Amino acid sequence: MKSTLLSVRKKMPSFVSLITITAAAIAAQAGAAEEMNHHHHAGHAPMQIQETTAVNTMEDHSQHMQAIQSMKNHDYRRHVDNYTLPSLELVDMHGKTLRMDEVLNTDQPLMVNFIYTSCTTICPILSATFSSAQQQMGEEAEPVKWVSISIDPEYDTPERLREYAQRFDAGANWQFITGEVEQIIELQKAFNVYFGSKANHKPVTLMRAGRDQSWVRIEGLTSGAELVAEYRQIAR
Amino acid sequence: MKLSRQLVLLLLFSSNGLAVTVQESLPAHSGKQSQQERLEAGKQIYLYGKLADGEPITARVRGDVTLRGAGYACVNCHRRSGIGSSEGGDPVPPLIGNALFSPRVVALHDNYPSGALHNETRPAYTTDSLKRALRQGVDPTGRELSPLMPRFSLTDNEVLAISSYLASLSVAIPPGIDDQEMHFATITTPGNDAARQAMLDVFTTFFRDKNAGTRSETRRAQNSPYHKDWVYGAYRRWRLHEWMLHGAPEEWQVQLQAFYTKQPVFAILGGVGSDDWLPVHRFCEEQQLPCLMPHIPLPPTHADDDFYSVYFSRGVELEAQTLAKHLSDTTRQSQQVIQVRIEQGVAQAATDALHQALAGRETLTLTEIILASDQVPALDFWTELAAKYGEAVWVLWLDEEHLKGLTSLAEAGSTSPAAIYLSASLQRNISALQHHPLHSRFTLLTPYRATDNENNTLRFRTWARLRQLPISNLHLQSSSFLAATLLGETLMHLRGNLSREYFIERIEHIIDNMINPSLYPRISLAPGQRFAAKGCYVWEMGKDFETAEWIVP
Repeated sequence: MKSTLLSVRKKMPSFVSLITITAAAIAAQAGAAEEMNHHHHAGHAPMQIQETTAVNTMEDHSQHMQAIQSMKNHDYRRHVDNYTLPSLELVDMHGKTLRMDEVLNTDQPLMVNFIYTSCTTICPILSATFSSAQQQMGEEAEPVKWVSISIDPEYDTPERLREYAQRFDAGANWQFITGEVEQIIELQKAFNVYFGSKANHKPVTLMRAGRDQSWVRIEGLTSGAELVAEYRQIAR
Repeated sequence: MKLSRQLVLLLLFSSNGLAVTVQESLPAHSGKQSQQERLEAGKQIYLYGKLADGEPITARVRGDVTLRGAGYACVNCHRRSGIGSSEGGDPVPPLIGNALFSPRVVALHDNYPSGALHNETRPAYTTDSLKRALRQGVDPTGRELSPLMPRFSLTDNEVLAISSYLASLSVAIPPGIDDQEMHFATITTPGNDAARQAMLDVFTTFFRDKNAGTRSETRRAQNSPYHKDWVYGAYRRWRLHEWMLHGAPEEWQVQLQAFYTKQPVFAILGGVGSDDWLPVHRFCEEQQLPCLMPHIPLPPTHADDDFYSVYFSRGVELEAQTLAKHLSDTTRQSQQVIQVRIEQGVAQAATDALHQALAGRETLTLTEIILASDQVPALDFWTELAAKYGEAVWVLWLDEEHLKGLTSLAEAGSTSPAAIYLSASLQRNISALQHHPLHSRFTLLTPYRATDNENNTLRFRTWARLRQLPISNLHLQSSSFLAATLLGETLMHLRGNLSREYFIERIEHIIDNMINPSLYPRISLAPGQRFAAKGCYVWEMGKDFETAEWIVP
């Protein structure tokens, strides 16, 4: 119960703003007024689209605070891992056959996630998180190779992957990969992300600074800022 | 001291005092919208992520990840039924009116299927707590919702609209089910007697077994221990009805409606027929009636855009697209391709699909030869074809009856074509082809294994043998068995939630994990996918089947 309450106060600034008067009174009573006042929007009306945009582009540091707090709260798990990449043949979103090495064993920094185009729950959010991180990084995202590997390769033809990429305004440095079922299963096993059925799949993001470097494995959903922060740690 | 302060906070957060504060901030004109308009507006948001002004919904997750559009409408995760789903162990809770607007008290069995203690006790949602859940991601007790739940930008009116749509979602028992029985139909058409019998044998045996195995459960349900009532209470006797359709496909709609009016069914299980299946497909969509179709030669291509019909393969269109890919990959110099089909029936869709798939391939020229509906090509036809197009690739979109005359070509020793491709979906029984004198010259396009490797179908064959059921058509019968097993497992997942939409959603979810006793090498679905088998073999019948090429076009 203790931790539940803390998370309400720290992570739900908009909720706090919605009930400003009452909450402020409670907060004063509880001796936690400084927590509330820290939030920029205290006293505003319920969240609107315009506010959302403003928060994303400029002004206060609530997001960073939130990101830092999230990291402290372990909303996602981070490991450093080494994987042995098997020799596989994959297919990119233009139908071109590529060796596994060409896709994942490059000098470029890599960001990798696992998706499928008819996934409605986790994958659109994982892809939107890649988008968000790319936007926040601006030019810094360009030398990075972003790779999304389909775990439903027979349905996710190159054509479907191209449509999916378009949904997320994916640039040329964001590659979508499919292949033969057996090869894709082997690839998932190599990265320890194979859960048998695609409906069991979990949000995992892998990143590394370059060839022969260790991988950083992130399990769970991150914010765009968190993903950028994790990337900067390995890219230093 | 500190702990008691937090208790006070929690109580205040979940009390109605907050709700009143929000209530006052509602726009005064909100009452102007009629209940019907509000419901429709809510439906547009729930299903299509479309706001009243036509703008797409917007939301955020994890603070800074912005989401926009139909891809983030409620329906994506909570599904059309509103009963929810799960992915990777993350549960998506039910939103239907009687679940959302009732208090939730945790009991151990409620945590099924994910096994984690995630569904925590909460009071009933009100419009105001729903508002906070949608905008800020907090539940009525003040607990933060999963990070997977987007935090939406919605006005008060939009939340009210969603709320009234959710209130309209329910698991009211649909037609075709009463206290004792669940009704199902299977569709047959004349002229397919052997296939009809083969399929009905499997279904009637399966139903008899099922009813025999659960007959005491229905009795136990009336007097069951508390922890079993939800199991026993869901059992009903299954009844299968045969809906035999007559005449041309255009006349089927009226017949289907008459059958359905006489005895509504919960779902349609399987069908045999060599015609265009569109009238049945349309009927299922119109009646919002789940249809499981294991072996139809021509399902509508747009089934992915619809909801209620699930097919095991795309039939002849899949074969045509596979052939297009195969020819493009293997043909280097220019090549003439001759397609032969009869005037009526599904083969036209096949020739059209090949045309379309090969559009722009200048090295391949297509010629189509159309036979009259009653014309069975004899020796002279094939001899003439060989004389004229002896060097060409032949694609014969014909069944085994229309291929009989081709036997004589071999005997006459005429020049023969570069390759002869045949369609498995158009054969009544492909085992007949294997006895064709020319079979070693044929290349078969088949979405399922043409020969049994003894492993895949073992479960079905053992089941059939124990019941002394003759196996006359292994593909048709093993895939019918798969459909019946799928029906049984899915209904088990449904328990008391007898929503037709939830039925389809569960099929999408569990089919990948089913034991597959059919000749389809792989079956798989996901939200919105309506064809379980994705690829097709290209098998040179003179060689061992294991040498066949698997193509996913």
